[in-house]
Amino acid sequence: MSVKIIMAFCFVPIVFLMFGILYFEGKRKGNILLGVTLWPGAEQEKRVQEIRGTYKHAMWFWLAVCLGLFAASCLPRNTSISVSLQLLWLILVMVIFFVPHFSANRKLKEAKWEWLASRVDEAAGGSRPMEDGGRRTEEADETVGRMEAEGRYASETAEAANRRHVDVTAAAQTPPRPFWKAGFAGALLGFVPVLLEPFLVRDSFYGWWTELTLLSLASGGLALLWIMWHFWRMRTDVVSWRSEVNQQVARVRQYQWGRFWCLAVWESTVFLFILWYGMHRPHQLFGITIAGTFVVTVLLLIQMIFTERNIRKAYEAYADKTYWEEAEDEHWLGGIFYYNEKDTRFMVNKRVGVGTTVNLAKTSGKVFMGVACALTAGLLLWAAILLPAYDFVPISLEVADGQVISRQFGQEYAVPVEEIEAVELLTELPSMSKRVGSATDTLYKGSFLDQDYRSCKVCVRVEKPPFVKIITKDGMVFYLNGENEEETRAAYEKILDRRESAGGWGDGFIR
Amino acid sequence: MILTLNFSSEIPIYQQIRNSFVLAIAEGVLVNGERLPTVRALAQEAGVNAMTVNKAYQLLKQEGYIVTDRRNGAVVQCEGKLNEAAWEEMLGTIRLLVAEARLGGVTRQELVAEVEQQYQRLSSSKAEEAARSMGAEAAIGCEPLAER
Repeated sequence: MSVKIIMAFCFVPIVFLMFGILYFEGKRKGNILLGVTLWPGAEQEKRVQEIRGTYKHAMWFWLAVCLGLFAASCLPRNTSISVSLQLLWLILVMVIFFVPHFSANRKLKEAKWEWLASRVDEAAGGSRPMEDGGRRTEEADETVGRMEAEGRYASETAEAANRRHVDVTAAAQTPPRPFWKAGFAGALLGFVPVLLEPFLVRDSFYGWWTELTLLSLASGGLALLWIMWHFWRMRTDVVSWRSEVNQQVARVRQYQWGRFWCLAVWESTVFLFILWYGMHRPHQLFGITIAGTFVVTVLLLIQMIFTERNIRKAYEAYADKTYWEEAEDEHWLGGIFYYNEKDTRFMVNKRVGVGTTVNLAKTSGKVFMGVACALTAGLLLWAAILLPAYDFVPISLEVADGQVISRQFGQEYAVPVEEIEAVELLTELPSMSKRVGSATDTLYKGSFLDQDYRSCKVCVRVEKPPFVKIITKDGMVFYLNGENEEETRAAYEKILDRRESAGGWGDGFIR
Repeated sequence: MILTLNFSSEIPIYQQIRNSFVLAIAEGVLVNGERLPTVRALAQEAGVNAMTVNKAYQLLKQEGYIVTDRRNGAVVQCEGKLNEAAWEEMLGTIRLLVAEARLGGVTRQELVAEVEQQYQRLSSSKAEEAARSMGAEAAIGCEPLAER
């Protein structure tokens, strides 16, 4: 049950995050709505308002569906099936909210085409103007207008799509580096535990894993600094014909993102210190890690939302509503994926959502996106398949070829009988905490620490006693059992027989 | 200054960059002493190859519109004088333009009027830019872009 609660804490915020990021695309950002550059007067048009309304309703619908599916995934009694369903649910959540966005983007583009068609018609002295900015009133006019418009629209939008505005004055400015020193200090502080650990603690429970983990996390702080630097170098968005306006918007964006990444570096460092503390409290490490991860994740999400909100406020305040020449709509597939063969940049600002995206026209962009998608989906799918396999593949415990062999999916322990110092049949499993491995409601497998902080190897069905405890001559402790009581007892008896025939037991053995 | 690049045009990108800068200097959008972005910065902003921007800058430098040095980068420095070779080249361009206009049915008066209009526009652009630089943004209705 505790696992389900933890998974709910970890996963449910993700659905709200995905919902929030895309829901607010239904609000104008500069001159862009739902990934489409708006034309003058667009927001007042009835059709645009309908598209926006439908989009928002669809988003709420899918949010309710996702929450309902998550609740349903908690129903199975078996934790591994439940978690497996939730991992598949996560893949759905990452994708589903884009569906109404693609649909709304397509409809808005169609509305824009029709508006452009009406301009073309009027310019050519053609037939009746558009009513209320919406559809034409007669089908014939619509067909003629569209044919003409498509012929001229094709060249007009191709022209617009191949135009790019660059703010030269902004490019000439030396960009400020807000929060650089503070961020750097935070990243450096993260290396303190890495340097102190070998000197302060002689015998760490996790050995060199501790240093490696701390070093990885500290390096993560440097990676966040690199991301901060990259955000500073992002191209200035041209939202107005006036360079000083573009520069001001750029400054706001650099300040907000600089602050976000600086805070992220410090949160990462604080988490590192917490983890360092937890690594010397092995029985509490799992809880500390989960709690720390949850708190840091929630803080980052809240900060991200506020950062994006503040940047949007700047766009709203400064963007020139009459500036709509920036017509890169044709390069944005669904308003989300950027494809422009004439752009040499690898990374560009996102039109929709937060942050940056890659240029899919470049080979490096395709590779990056492909690898990212494959890794994300692949890892989730792999985990979703693996977890039930862990739980449902039977354990086998047997004594063969002079060894006690315990097998379960992906794990095998083989203990030579003559190396056994002591063996005991327990009806209850002592309390222990996981170091490396799996600890579900039904299966404990891997490396654990017992209540005396001794390392032990475990491969047991928790709800199927008894359990065979084996202590080897070199002090290693094993807790093993079979898929049922008969198998466990049979293995235990065989161990006793083999040991007796091998020459008996030493002093102080337990049986 | 907003530079517009047209990737579907027959005019090479470096030439478009050069032409835009020349127009901007003539209109007073860029004034003598104003620093231009570095080659890398402008290439990054425009999403073009740095060699393209470098070629445009070299052309501007040869024609006497900018000066470059390692320390300060590229700076607008237009002396307002054409050398003999440049003037000859310009005359050739004018001859061709006049010939094309004549063949296209444009009258002498129309052509002269258009040239005068362009000169007028450039002169008034310089005056407007001078007023703007004296802090006229508030009059346009934009909040002063002070520290926020």
